[in-house]
Amino acid sequence: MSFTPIDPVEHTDSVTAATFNNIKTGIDKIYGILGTAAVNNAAIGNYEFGPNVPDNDQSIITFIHSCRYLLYEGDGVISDPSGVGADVAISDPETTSEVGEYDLESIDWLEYGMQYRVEGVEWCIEYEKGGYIL
Amino acid sequence: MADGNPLSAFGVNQLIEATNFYGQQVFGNNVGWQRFTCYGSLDAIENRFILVHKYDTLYLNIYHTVDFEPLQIYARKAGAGQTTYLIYDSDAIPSGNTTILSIDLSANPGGFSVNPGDVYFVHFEWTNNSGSEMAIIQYVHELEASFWTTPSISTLTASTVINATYLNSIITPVRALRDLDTSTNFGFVGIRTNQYQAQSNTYLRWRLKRINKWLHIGARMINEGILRIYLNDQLIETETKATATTEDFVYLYNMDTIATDLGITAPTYGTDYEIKFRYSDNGAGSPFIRANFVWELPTP
Repeated sequence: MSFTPIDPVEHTDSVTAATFNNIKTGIDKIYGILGTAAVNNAAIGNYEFGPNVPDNDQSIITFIHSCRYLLYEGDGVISDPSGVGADVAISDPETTSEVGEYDLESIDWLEYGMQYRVEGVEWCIEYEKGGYIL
Repeated sequence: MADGNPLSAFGVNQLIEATNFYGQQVFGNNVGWQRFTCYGSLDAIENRFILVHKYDTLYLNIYHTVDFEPLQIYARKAGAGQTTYLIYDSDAIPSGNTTILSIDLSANPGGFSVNPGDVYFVHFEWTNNSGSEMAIIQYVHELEASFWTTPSISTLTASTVINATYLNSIITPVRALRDLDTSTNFGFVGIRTNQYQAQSNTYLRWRLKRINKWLHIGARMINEGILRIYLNDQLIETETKATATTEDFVYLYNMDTIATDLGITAPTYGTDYEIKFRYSDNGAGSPFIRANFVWELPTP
């Protein structure tokens, strides 16, 4: 029941009933997962800063990159689990704002869909401000 | 779209592009959400949940078997000098071992107000009146009920003449998905610990929704130890490590065939399920475990 991307109509090809039925199938699958209630999940703080028990130093947060900005608090490092990309240091934001914002598109080794790790920060969450126009 | 307007391949491709874009957003990133486990009372310093405000109902779901006297929920907008507000304060008697709260943020609970796009924090405090019983924070999210309208799109045959009604039945639900443009993405909380826990009371547990074909699980084991992995309390993996080294383990499961592959009851498509790690001692030498990832993906 996974989502299968729909092939676009190529130049000189005809738009057929099958084309529309593929779009319908895709839309139905999306709404089948979304249901009727819209949900906005919370992120959870880095467990390293959580309960005193268990011993939890060096806990990490790992993302599958899908939004442009990383909101965070505290000093930390963005790292590539494969070890290929260089570590990127992120620093504690201004005390007046509390929340740091890092543009992940500035990291040359990071592509959408890749996984990456954030270590050392108190919490972090990816955020997309919008802008996809239809 | 109106009857009589020309339909171009370009227009159809825009629909395809948008459907693919949102399809990959909905299906492509299915990360396990840590179920926060604690014993006895819970203090402010021990837990923090982070939200970027979007919907007005704050939904909270806690597993507990004994009363909380009281259960208190606090909220604070991010930023220096912001006030922490007590937005819920009451004794909580579990119903079916669960307390579920839906707090209307638009009603300024306890004086707390938040605007769309604001980053804010929620934390729980409770006094467990029966010592060290386990409790689990199972869900923390904002929601808006009846937000999405399930589309009803006809299936075409080669002889069907399409009109504006049909085309709009496709365009309207795709346009509605623009709500996903402003979104957040939580990371996988990779707990590192040296605590040995039983299957029933482990800290290492994550909630997923059954969507994708492939379940990926990764863990780092440091020194000697035994890792057992459970899906809805059914054992699916046992890893015994008997060397004083650091090693990463990766496990891959086909969720379409996992029931027959492993002889377990698989979660139903679209429902939530739980992955748990149980870690236990297997010798000397400062053993640790770190969960690297638990997520479903469309690809192996």
